[in-house]
Amino acid sequence: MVLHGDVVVEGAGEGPAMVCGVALALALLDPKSGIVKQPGHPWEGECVAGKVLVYPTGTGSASGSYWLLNLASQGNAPAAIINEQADAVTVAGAVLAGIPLLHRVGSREAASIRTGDHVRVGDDGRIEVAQR
Amino acid sequence: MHLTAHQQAMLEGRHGWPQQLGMRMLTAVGRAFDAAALIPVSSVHLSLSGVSVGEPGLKLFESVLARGGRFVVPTTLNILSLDRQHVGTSPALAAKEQVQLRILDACRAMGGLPTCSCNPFVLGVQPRFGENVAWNESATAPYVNAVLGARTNREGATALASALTGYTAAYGMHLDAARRAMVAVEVDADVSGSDRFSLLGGAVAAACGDRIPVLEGLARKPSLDELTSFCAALAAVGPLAMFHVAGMTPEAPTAAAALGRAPAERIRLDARALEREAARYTTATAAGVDLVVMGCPHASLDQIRDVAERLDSQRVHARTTFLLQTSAAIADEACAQGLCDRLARAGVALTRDTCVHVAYREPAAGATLVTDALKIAYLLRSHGLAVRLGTTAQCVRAAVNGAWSA
Repeated sequence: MVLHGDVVVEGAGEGPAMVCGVALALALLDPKSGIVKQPGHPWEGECVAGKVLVYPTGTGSASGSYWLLNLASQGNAPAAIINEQADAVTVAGAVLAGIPLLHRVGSREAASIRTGDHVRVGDDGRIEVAQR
Repeated sequence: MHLTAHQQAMLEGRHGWPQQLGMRMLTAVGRAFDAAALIPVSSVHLSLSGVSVGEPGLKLFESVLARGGRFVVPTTLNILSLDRQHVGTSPALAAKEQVQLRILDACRAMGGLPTCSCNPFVLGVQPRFGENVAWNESATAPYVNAVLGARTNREGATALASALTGYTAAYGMHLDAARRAMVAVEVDADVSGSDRFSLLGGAVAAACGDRIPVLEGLARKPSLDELTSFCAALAAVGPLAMFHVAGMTPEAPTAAAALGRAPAERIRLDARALEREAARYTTATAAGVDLVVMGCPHASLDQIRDVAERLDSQRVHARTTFLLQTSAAIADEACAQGLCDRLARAGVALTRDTCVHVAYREPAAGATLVTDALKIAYLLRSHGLAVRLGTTAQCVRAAVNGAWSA
């Protein structure tokens, strides 16, 4: 399956997808482990390192940009991020950390990506999804 | 998005890597929000706490400085993760303290003004009506937008990009249409004092979600201290960067003017709603009080004097730590006026440039905290503290008695 998103931060990356419908607070990621610490979030306790994250948008502290940089410098950055609508904190963080960021894939199309699918994001906004 | 020749040159790296990095952040944000252009900013307020920026952030700031990065517009600095008066007193914190001090040094070398405060307004730093600015620290955004009528989004690392380039993306709060009220809030309660305005800020945020409110029914124009407390609470618990007060804030000569054409739902907040709001933040069950925190946002000189006068000759209980948070500049003036001695005799720690939420020196988990600031109550829960949100009078009484009394 091939989808397309709008490129916000250019780059290519691939990995297993993590998909959820809840806004993610970047400042509640643990940079040392890559584990989500956000109370009540569907990904609480899961590790984002090397994953292609598919979630609606960012929330919470504006310091989240530096958390993404922090994750990347400890080798725990996600491989790519796919948002419904990217927020400024995530965008700035993705630039600093060198993480490809796409958005506006279309909610029906994005919903066809399942957790565990192998997803490859290209420079041009192309998203290749290999179902698990 | 249209870029000027100067902006395009920065993006291509012809003015050096720091401005290129800044432009890459700003153009990406502009793309994400369909901004038509990048617009000049008059000032920046920049976050630099060691806890949020961390060691990778330190490397970033030092690289930017080393490669010629300078703040090209007036840039004030936000809170630190330490009180510079107490650096070096804890060996366990020494390495972290060096991270914070080096971040601060890099920011100063690039031209940052070390206000080191979440409340630069009481230091006289006040953007003017209609100016576009890029201000970090969520507590400042509603004050900048609503009270001063200047324009900022709630900035993250984008504030660094704006400081280095002098621009921001024209979206959100920079556009007239996004600043209009969507909902009317009738305040049917006698709200007075920064403690009660903090509660009101939380109640308004909870009631309005992401809809900008216009407040009606306030008996008088709130003071600067009341407004900064309101703004800190409003932004802490919700996404808003804007509000209006009918007949009082500059873009709301009337409620109808603030609302524009939006169909106005009306929400009523009475005294009972405010009490319910306070109760929502109380998780403590024990009567004993280990920690009292006031000064969120950083206390003004008036608020420091108020605490000294309320305590008068009483002393803080031996089991209780009382932190009153402010900036070094305000603290220096408080000392010059004899207030520091009075507070020290009473057992109050007047802390400078920092905040318990981002301080390396963390309160012990499980401790019971009393505060008159809803933002502190909200944030310190996530540090594992048991919390009570009270009035300023209740906080001072709890500090003296070492115990809570309603």
